Amino acid sequence: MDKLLTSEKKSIYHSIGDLRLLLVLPVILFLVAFIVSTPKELWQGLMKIILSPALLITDFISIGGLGATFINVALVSLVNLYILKKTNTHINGGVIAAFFTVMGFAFFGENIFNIWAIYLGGVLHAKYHHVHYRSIILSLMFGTGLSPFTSIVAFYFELPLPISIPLSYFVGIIIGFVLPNVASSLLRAHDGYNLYNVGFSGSVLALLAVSVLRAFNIEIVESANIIANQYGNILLLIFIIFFTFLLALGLYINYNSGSKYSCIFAFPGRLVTDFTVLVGFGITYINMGLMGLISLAYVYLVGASLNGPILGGVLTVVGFSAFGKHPKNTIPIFIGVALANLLNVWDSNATTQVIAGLFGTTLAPIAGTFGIIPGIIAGFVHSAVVMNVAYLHAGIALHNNGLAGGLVAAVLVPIFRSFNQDRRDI
Amino acid sequence: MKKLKNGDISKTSKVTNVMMNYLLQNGANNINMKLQYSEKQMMMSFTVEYIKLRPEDISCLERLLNVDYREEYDDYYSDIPTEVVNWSDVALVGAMIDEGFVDYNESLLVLELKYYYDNH
Repeated sequence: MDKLLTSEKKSIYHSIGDLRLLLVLPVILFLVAFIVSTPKELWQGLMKIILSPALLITDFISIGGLGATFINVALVSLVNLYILKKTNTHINGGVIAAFFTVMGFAFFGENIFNIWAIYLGGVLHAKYHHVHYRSIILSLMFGTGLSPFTSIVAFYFELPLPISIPLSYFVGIIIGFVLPNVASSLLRAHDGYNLYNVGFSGSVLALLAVSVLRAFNIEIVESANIIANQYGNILLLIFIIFFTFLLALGLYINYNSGSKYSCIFAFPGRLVTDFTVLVGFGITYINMGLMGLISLAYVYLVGASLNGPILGGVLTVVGFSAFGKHPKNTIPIFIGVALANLLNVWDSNATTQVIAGLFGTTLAPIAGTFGIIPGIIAGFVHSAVVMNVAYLHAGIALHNNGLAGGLVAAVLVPIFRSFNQDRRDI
Repeated sequence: MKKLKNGDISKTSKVTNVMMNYLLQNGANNINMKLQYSEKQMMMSFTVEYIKLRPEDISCLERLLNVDYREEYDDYYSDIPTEVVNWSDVALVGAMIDEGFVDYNESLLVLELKYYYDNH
C-alpha cells in the first residue's frame, strides 16, 4: 500500500489541484474557433446550435460548424467552472469526471441555452431540502445530459416561443429539482458498478416523461442521426496534443517518472474511486492522458473518424479516468464491444457502435472486480442492449449508454458475484 | 438530545458498514463498537482485540481516513451499498467525516471517527 502514497511535488500540488487546470482545453478550443471560422460564422453557427432540438444524436459540428461548436463547448465549460468556483468546490476525481462529461456532451446535445434550467432546479432543491448547493453539484453536472429535453420543449413542438421557452425552463427546473434524489436512490440498482449512475437515473426519468407524453399521444421522433465526419483530422490533432499534455503534466508532477503508475491497476474502479485522493494528481493525469490516447486508438482501430458524439465519448472516458477507469478495467470492455460488432448486424464503424464502445466503459468496474472475461462479456452484452433502449426515452437523454450500462450491471453483477463468494480485496 | 436527520443516519450507517467490513475482511475478532452523538458531533469508535495489519496498512488507514471532507460525495454516495471493501471505500469514509484517529499496537486496534455537524 505504501506504493500508493503519493510523492508529488508539494509546492505545485495546490496550483495543479485547483480548477484552473480545467480551463486549458476550453481556452484552446476557444482560440482555435477564431482560427477556423470568422466571428460572423461563429455567431450564426452558435445560433443554429442553440435553436436545435438537440435530440440524440445531433452532432453540433454538423449543425453549426466546427468553430461554433468549439465556442459552445468553451462557453458551457466556462459556465460550469464558474458554478464550481462560486460554490467553492475543489477539484477531485468526481469533479474532473463531471466536468469532462459536460464538455463532451457540449459537442452533441448540451448548449449554452439548455443547461441553465437543470442548475436552477438544483437551486430550488438545495433551498427546499436545506442542503448546500455543493452537495448536489455532481448530480446536476452529470444531469445536464437531460438538457436536450429543454431544447425539445422549446423548439421541437413548434409552440409560440413566448410559451415554449418558459415551459421548457419549467420542465428543466423540475428535472434539476428531482434528479439528485432519484440518482442517489438508483445507486442501489447496480451497486456502483455502472459509473454513469446519474446518466442511468436521468434516462429512467426521461423514460417516465416520454411514456407520459406518449400516453397523451404526444410523440417525439425517436432519434436524430446528424453526424459530421469531415473534420476528423483536425480534431485528432487537437486531442492528441491535449492528451499528450495531460500525460506530460502527470509525469512532471510525479517527478518525471511513471514508475508508480501500475499501482492504479489495484483499484477495481467501482463507485466511488477518486484517483486524485488514492494515488495523487500526478498519476491521475498520467492515467487521463493515456486513456485519452487509448480511446483515440480504439476509434482509429475500428475504422471510424472523430466527430462530435465520438469526441463526447472520448472526453467522458478521459474524465472518468480520474474516477475509476484505467486501461486494465476498460480494455476488456472495448474488446467485448468490438467482438460484438464483428458478429452482430450493425456497422462496426458507425457512430452509434463506436460510442457504445467508449461510453460502454461505464461498466469498467465489472472488469476491474470480476476479471477480464466478465468484462468482455459485459461489453458484449452492453453493445446489444444499447441499440434497444433509445426508443424508451426517444433520444431526449444523452446518457443512452448510462441506461444500458445500468441495466447490464444490475443483471450481470449478481451473476458474476455468485462465482466470487470468497473474494477479498483489501 | 439531538434529533438525527435522515442524512446523518444514512451516513453513520454507511461509515460503520464500511469499517466493520474492513475489519472483518482483515480477520478481526472481538470487536467493540461504540457510537455516541451530541449536539455538536457524531463519534464512532471501534476497538479490536485481535487483528493483523501491516505498517503500510496503518499508514494508509490514517491517510485515507483524514482526507479532506467532500460535501459533494457525502450526501450522494452514502446510499451506495457496501460490499467487499477496497481502499477506495475507506477513502470515501474519509471524505464523509472530519477526523480519523488510528492506533495499533500488538494486534490491538483502536479507530475513532468523528464528524462535526457545524462544519458543514
